[in-house]
Formats: sequence, C-alpha cells, structure tokens
Amino acid sequence: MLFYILKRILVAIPTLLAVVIVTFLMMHFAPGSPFNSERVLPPEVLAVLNHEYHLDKPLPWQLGYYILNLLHGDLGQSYKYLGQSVNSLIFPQSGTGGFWVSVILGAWVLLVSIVLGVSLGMWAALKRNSLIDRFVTAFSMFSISVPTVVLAPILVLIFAVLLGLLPAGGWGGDFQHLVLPVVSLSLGIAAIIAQIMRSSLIEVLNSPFIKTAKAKGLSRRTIIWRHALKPAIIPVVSYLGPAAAAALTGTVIIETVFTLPGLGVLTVQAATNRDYSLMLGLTVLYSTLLIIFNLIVDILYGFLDPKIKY
Amino acid sequence: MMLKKFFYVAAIVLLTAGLLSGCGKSGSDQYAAAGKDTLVRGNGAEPPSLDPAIMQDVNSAQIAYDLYEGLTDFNQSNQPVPGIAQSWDISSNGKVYTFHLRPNAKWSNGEPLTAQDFLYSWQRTLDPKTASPYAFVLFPVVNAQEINAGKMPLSSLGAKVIDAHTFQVTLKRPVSYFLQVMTQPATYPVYAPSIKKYGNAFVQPGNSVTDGAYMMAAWVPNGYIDLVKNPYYYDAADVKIDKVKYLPIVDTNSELSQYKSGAIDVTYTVPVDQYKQIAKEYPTELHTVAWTGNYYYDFGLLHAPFKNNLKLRQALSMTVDRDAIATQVLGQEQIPMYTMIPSDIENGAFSALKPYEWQSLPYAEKVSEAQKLFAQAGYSTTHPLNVTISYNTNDIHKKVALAIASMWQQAFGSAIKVELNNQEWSVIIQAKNKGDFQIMRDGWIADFDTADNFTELLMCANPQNTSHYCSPKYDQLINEAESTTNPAERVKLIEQAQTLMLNDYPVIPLLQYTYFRLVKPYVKGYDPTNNHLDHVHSKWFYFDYGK
Repeated sequence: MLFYILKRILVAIPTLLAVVIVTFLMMHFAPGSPFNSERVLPPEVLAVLNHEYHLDKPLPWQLGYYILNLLHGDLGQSYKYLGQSVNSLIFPQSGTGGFWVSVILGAWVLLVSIVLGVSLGMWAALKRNSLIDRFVTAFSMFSISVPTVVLAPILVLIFAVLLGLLPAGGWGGDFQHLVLPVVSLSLGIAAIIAQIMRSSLIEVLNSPFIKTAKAKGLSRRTIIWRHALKPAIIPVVSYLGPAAAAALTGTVIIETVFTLPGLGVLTVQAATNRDYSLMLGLTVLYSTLLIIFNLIVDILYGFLDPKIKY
Repeated sequence: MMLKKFFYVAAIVLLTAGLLSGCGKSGSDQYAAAGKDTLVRGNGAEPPSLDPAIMQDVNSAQIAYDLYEGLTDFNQSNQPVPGIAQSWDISSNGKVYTFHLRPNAKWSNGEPLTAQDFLYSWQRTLDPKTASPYAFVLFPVVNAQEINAGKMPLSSLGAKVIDAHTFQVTLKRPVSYFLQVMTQPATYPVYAPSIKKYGNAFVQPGNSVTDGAYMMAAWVPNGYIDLVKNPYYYDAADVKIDKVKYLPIVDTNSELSQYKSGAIDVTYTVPVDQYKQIAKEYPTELHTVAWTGNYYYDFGLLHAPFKNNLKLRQALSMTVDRDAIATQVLGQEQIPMYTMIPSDIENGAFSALKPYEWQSLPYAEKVSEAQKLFAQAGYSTTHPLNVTISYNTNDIHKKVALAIASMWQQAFGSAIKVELNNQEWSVIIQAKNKGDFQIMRDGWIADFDTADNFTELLMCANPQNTSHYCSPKYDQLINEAESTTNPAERVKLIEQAQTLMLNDYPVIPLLQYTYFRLVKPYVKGYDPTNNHLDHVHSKWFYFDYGK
C-alpha cells in the first residue's frame, strides 16, 4: 500500500511538470500582453515592467526561473494586481478569500451533495418503480438539466430579492451567506450522485451474492447495509474525485453570481488579463488537487472493493 | 372537470405570486430601516492596484478618492477646491504655483503631512523605476518628462519645498487645468516610511497610511474592501458616514439583485439590457448623467482601403445615423456626436461646434450625397468594398456595429460587404496600437474637465492615436491653443483644429457616453447632475430615512 502511494506520488511529479510547461507556453503564445492597457504605456515604463517581470529574457530562461521558484513554493508576482504576490492572492494571509473561501464552499457542497445524492439514490433503488423512484428520477433530471447559471439567479430572485430571507451575495463567512451558493452548486452534483447510486445499487441487488445472502435468510436490513452498500458506492466514489477538485477550485458562475472571492473568479480574470503567473499558479493548484483526489479515490477503492489489492 | 382543475392550478399560482410580491416590500426594506453606519458601494471590478502612482482605472481611482487627497480636491461639479492646500498663488505668467498646505494636515496615523511628502511622492511617480502609467499628468512640470524618461535626476524636478507647509511648482508652460491635475491619484501624497518598510505591500491593511477622509480597514481580493473614517482628516467633523464598503461586483445582474435586496446602497452601474425597465421601476433612484467620454470609430489610415481615400471615409461617416444609434439601438440617453469633444466639457464651451456641412441635412439626403462619393471613391456592385469592423467583445459594441453595418448595407446595397470581428480586450489593444485594422471601435473618457483630453488624441506623436492620423497643421493649431493664455482665443483655435481634422475623416464620432447608477432613496448628499467626470467622494454622502 505504502509502496503504491509512493509510486503514485513519483508519477505525479512529471505530470505536474508537463502541466506547467504546457500552460506556460500556451499563455505566452496567446496574443496580447499583460501590460496592454487602454492608455498606451510609454516605452520606458514598458521596459522597466518587462525587466521586472523578466519578460525581456528568453522564454526557456523564464520557464526555468519559474520552475525553480515553484520548487521553493513561490508562485511569483501577479502581473495585473501589481504589488501582490500570487501566493497572497490564492492563499490570503487574512484567512479570508481565495483558496480558503473555495475550501469552505467546496466542503459544504460535497457534504450536502453526498448526503442528499446517496440517500435519494438509495431510496429510489429500494423503492424501484414506485412514486418515490419517479420523484427522485424527475428531481435528478431537473437538477441536471437546469444549469447553475439559470438556477442561481432564480434562487436569488426568490430568497433574496422577493422574500428577503437570505443575502443576494457577498462573503460574510457566516452560514447565511453560504446557503444559496451551496444549494445552487449541490443540486446538480447531488442529482448525478443519486443517478449513479440508484443504478449501481439496483445492479448490486440483482447480483448472485445478494441472492445467496437472501437464501441464507439474512434480514433485508443486513443485506443492504452490510453487503450491498459497499460495492454499490464504488462508482459514486470514482465520480467524487474530479467532482471534489472542481468544487474546491471554485466554480466561475456561482462565484460571479454571488460575488464570492474564491478561485473561480481569479481564474477567469487571470486568463483575460494575461496574468501569466496567476494563471500558472492556479493551474498548478488545480492539477495538484486533481492528482491528490484521484489518489484518495484509488486508496478508497482498496477498502471498498475486495477485488482490488495494492 | 379539466376546467375545474385548471382553475385550481391558476388560483394557486396567483396566490403564490401575490404572497411573494407582498413579501417583496418587507424584504427590501428590512435593511433600509436599520440605523446603518456603513455605506455600501458597487465598485464594478476588483481594483488592480491601490498604489496612487500605479492605478490607471476607475475601479482603483474610485477607492483612491476616499483614501487620499491631493493638494486640491474636487467638488460635485468636478471643479478644483482647496484640498490639503488651503490656498495657492499663481504667478502672473501662469507658470509658478505656490501651494499653502493646511497646518493641521495629518496622515491617518497622526503624523503631520508636509510639503516634503508631496515632493517625495511626485518624484516617486516620475521615477522610471516606479513605472507609473499616469506619470504624464505631471509632465507640465519643469523637467518632469525628462526625469520619467531617465534622462535627468529626480532632484531636477521643478518643484521645491519652501517650508514644511509651502510647496512651489514651476511649469514649462501655463496649463489652464493644472489645479485639476492635483486631484489626480498620480499626484497624491504617499507615506514614505510605509513604502520603505513594506515596499509594494504598503497599500495593504495594517501597512496603509493615507491622508484622505477614509482609511483602509480590510481588503479581501474579489470580496470586499472596507474603509473606516480617518479621525485625523482635517475635515473629519463633516464626514458623516463611519464606514464604506466597496464590492467588486463584475456581474451587473448580480449587482442589481443585491441592490434590490438592500445589500448595496449605490451601484456601480445597471445592466444595460434592463435599463428601460429599471428606469420605469425606479424612476427616482436611477441617475443617468452625460459622461465626458466619446465613442467613435477609427479608420485604419495605414492600410487600404482607407489610406488615401478621403471620399470613401466621408461616404461611410455620412451614412451613419447617430440619432438612430443613440435613441433606438442603445437608448440610455447617449448624445449623438459629430465632433471629438463631448458637449459637457468646460461648461459646454464647444457644444456649438458644427464641423460638417452635411450635418443637419435630412438622413435621406445624406445618403444620396454619400452614394455619389462612394461611387467616386471607386466602389460599385461590380467592385464591392469589403470592410471589417473590429471591436472588443461587449454587447453594446456588438449592437452598435450591427446597426452601422446594416446602415451601410442599406445605403450602398451589394456594393459593400461588412464583416464584424470581435476579439477580447487584450487582443484588440494590440491591434489598435499597431494600427492593424480597417475600422476599430474606440472611445476615450476624460481625466480632467478640459478639451485637451480629446484634442491631443489625434496629434501625430500621441500613442493613443489609433487611426494613425497625422496633420502638421492640426498639431500646430493644438499647440497654439495650449500655449495661449487667452481663453477665447483658445476655444477658437481648438474649434478650427477640430473642423480641419474632422473634415479629413480619420474618425467617425458617434456618441457621447452616459453613466447610470441606482442610489437608494435614504442615501443623501450625492448629486451627480453636474458630475460629468464621475469622480465621487464617499464623504459627500449621509443617510436620511425621513421618518
């Protein structure tokens, strides 16, 4: 097991390196420059800026310099937010904003969608073809087909503008400010989890070992909780890897609609502003998270699926 | 049976709707009723920098106007009034300004604010190492331009400290709007000890020391910026609201929801596509003001087909129906334009200027006149003109471009083929700077209340001259206008220059911008009617619930 984890981490390093190089080159080959502004900068000023950010050096030099700093955990200076380092934008020292917002939001979203999705999926599978099953399927279809870009403003209109129950946006760090963003984000993920859970549980319930268990005279409760649930949840877990990374690195639409200072908004701004260092920093973070979550998922497989041994 | 069911459903729907809208009132009033101590303002976007020497966009400047104050300050009509300097003397030749600083002027940490602070800050702005994009506002000062280019030492600047409270500035030539320059962020004093200690991070909460009505309390990038009243501000007794919160909301629909729910007191703008609806719904809360900014198209004079083809450029300009664009296509009270100088600038000094002879002809006559010019320019159905309009991706720009394309299509039929080309901002700017386009959407917002902002745009050496127009005669007239001390003479020279340039057709002036924002009825003290530059201080505001 330990050997397996070590191997995975070693494989992750070249993957990350490749991500850095490709992103770095893509950013630099995109037309436009980070110092383009409506008012044309005097050539002297441009020269100072280019020098300060090492843009006057050859591209391979810049890449090497970046990777060297990255090894020390230094993501460089932002090109757009002058005077702020990428580290301080992604991981603000005050503890509010950037990654920390995304962590709180992402954790809530995951929690709500797993609890909601798994229980709805189980319920539907156990009461197959009943009214409940149809309701769950209808709910899932609705939540999957209504995009957050539509759902979020509708929730804002009803609960913030008309009813005045919840804030329409902003980040207060309190529970009230979290409700609408978490609900808007969770419904879609919960719906997918419910669908996966439903079909996987149905399949497991029809498999021979469940029949054996029934023949042995085990109670329905024991069959479901002890024997069926573990194998049925495996597909859900494999979906959770990328879902967790996505939930943590923020979702652009939700952050825009609710004005949350998370990573999603930063990503969009970094791309449009040609903020090379911020974009790279975010890509590295996202890739790292993706690798970590996939690793966690694979380790969980080992516990859930007796067929998998590391 | 079916009908009965339908009625039930209808009744439920209506009841729910009634309940929801009934609750609406109580929902949005709950914040208003509370005794607030914080003014919440939409900021449009995250400020890229709060360093006065570095900032160059409205999202940063808006906050800087609260944090800092220059030698002069501005009032709600954009006129300079005493700021940190309580008075000043101007020499008879208009070149030497002696500012008398308030003896009680202090930094937000209680330290005295002196003439030395201004000298340090101006030198810092001009230092090429600072890389200030707005250093040029100080270029009228003796040697400033040479210092910024790295050709002269900082100490050679034409500004000196006479004593702790007297600061003297010598200009290269008289500048009619120099007192307004002192209200620009690039001239604001910055606190040297903070900069020496924290470097670029001197603007962060905890490090920030400023001299304006408010000071920095908290800054969560993309979240919010909190300011609190500066107790050491010389006029602190008249600052009525204790805290100001700026929200960098990019999405205008989201800003509108937050305004409706009572979470924002003053918006940055409103969603353009909902403007008419909002004007109907909130007639007293929506303020629409003519902005001293113009919206125009550049002809790419470096390449065919517009290079050396005056008749073609004139024909295209004549067939753009500015009124239709202002009223039917956009409809946010924009003002049709035929010159580059917005009508509200300098109290309307240039509003009577009519540069084109064809300007007041009925549209049909303009078209028939233009058709002749178009044919003379060498284009016909057998030899059609292919032209591309470039603009940065934006709904308004798209609407305008579509409208103009269809106007040309109607006027010249199959003799013209118009293509639209939208690109993101960063790409468009590169094309603009290189002159690499046929027709380019362009615009300019004034920094000061002076026509010079706009006349200088088309001078040969101006980097902002997108069309790459160059007329020595035009440059000469503008230079003369800028050096004369006779105001009437200046207006005449500028009018002459405008008429000359516009009849060379390097640009198609289209509209004067408006800005619009919602202000809650209990927010008082703010009157944008004459604030055509849209420079705003939070210190003007106060709350009044009018019980």
